[in-house]
Amino acid sequence: MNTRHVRTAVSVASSLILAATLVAEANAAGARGGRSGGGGYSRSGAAAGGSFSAQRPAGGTGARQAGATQRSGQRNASAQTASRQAGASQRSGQRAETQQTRTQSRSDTRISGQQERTEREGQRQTASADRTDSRQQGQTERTEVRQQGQTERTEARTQAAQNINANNSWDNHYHYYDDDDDEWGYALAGAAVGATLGYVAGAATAAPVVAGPTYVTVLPCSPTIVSAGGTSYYGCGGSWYNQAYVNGSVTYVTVNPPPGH
Amino acid sequence: MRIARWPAWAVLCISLMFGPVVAAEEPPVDEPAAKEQSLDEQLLDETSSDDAPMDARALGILDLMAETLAQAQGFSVTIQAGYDVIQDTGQKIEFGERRKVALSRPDRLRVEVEESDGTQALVFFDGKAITVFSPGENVYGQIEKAGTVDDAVRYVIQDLGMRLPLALLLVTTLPDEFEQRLESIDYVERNTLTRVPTDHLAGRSADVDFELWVAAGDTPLPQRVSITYKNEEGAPQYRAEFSDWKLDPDLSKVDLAFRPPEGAEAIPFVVRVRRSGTDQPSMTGEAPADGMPAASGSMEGLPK
Repeated sequence: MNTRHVRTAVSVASSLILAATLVAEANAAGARGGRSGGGGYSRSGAAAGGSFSAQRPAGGTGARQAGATQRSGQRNASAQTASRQAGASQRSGQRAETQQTRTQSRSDTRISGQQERTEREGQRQTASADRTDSRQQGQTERTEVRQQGQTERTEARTQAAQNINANNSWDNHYHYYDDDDDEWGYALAGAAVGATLGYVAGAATAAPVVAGPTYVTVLPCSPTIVSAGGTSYYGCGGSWYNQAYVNGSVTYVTVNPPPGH
Repeated sequence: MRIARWPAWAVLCISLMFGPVVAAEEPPVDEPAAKEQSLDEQLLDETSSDDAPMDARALGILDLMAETLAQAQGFSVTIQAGYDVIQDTGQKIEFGERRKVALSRPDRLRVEVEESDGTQALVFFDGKAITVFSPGENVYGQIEKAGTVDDAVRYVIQDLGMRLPLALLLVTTLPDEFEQRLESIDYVERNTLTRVPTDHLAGRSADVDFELWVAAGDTPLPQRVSITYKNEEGAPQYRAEFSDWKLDPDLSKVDLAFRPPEGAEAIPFVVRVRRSGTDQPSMTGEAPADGMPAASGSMEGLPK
């Protein structure tokens, strides 16, 4: 990226905002859509990351439930996008339905899991209380010290949980997108300026952001390829795409037609 | 019993306070394992000591493995992996991939990826830029990013959103990462059927259950790993076998400078950035305020 390129990029920064918004939507919608394997099998999932952690919502039960609800909503949205990406085939319609059903059952499972967890915690507390009782017989002094320690430790633990939440799941991008989506946006970066301008050209003249898929992992046809401004445009039935890396995979992002098309 | 960040005297003090109670609940501790123990971890031990053993032997092996990797000047290894993806139908489908990873600290990394569907990718970092090349599409992305291998690994995952399985094993904070996540660790057996005899460990965290097979003997490198995402629907697993381990490879001779093949086109990355400019995480230094891309393409001079 030399200086001239940087300057060029700055000059179109306002256009880029729009471009970034478009891509951001694409990313948010598609992040969980997953890349398809052979025969339409999805190959994206929790285990694909090979991470030693998974997402852990902050706070206690309340926060967890809220998180689950939020995620369900997001999944619904991504399910709809996924079906749009797959085209108007019957199967995708069925899939969307299935996914909605699964979303429901997933949140059910989560909630019942929480209940179990709460129960287990309850049992643990009971057990711990029992132990404390027996210790209190003849060990009152020490128990007091212990209780005090426990309070401190509980606080420390809460603190630790928050720290873990913030710092400890960095290695799992699959879930990373579930965290605080509102705080995050997306930007194009690292491209040769020619390619970036391609997006700008596409986005700058775009009407209000349209609903619908803004990137696909597989083009829906054998595309017409047009080169403009050092960027390849892929045309499919009136839609035009540029390539970009989204989550490490080469994808096709929707853009406006290249000049003259 | 676990590694921890509190100095040993803290454990001592706590022991004094609780006397025989703690002594009874905790197995004896030996050296590296017991340097310290944080309060929340202690609480955890107390409330769930029955189902969450911290086996000192297992912990010692895990610790040694983590230190070996973290303190190495670098290493190279081949990772043959498989992972489950739960389909909409509920069926569990396994996909596979092979990765050749080579890193040389502080700032050189090279990863060759070959997925089971034939997709190939080359990812490398030379201390100044991260480059991803996709031979199938003959496109590449390049982003300027100065720093260490640790920085690059985190950036690739957090900001570029790429998969980098077992990324923990690549960073120098590995012992710390285990320490923070581990809720229990146990010794299963000495496995003599693996390529080399291994110590089979079973660990648990809040999110995952995992098993590690660590080579017994002088060089405690992982030979096999399986991770179960127990809170996910269908409890999918990630499994990997390690081969061709080589500690301290000399990557200085490896050419990490990327010269695009003929016809290769540069394409951009979609980078995740924090909208708020005030609260940037360390690895999104270029994150512009309000989602506005910083003079796109200019990624140098990032704060760390």
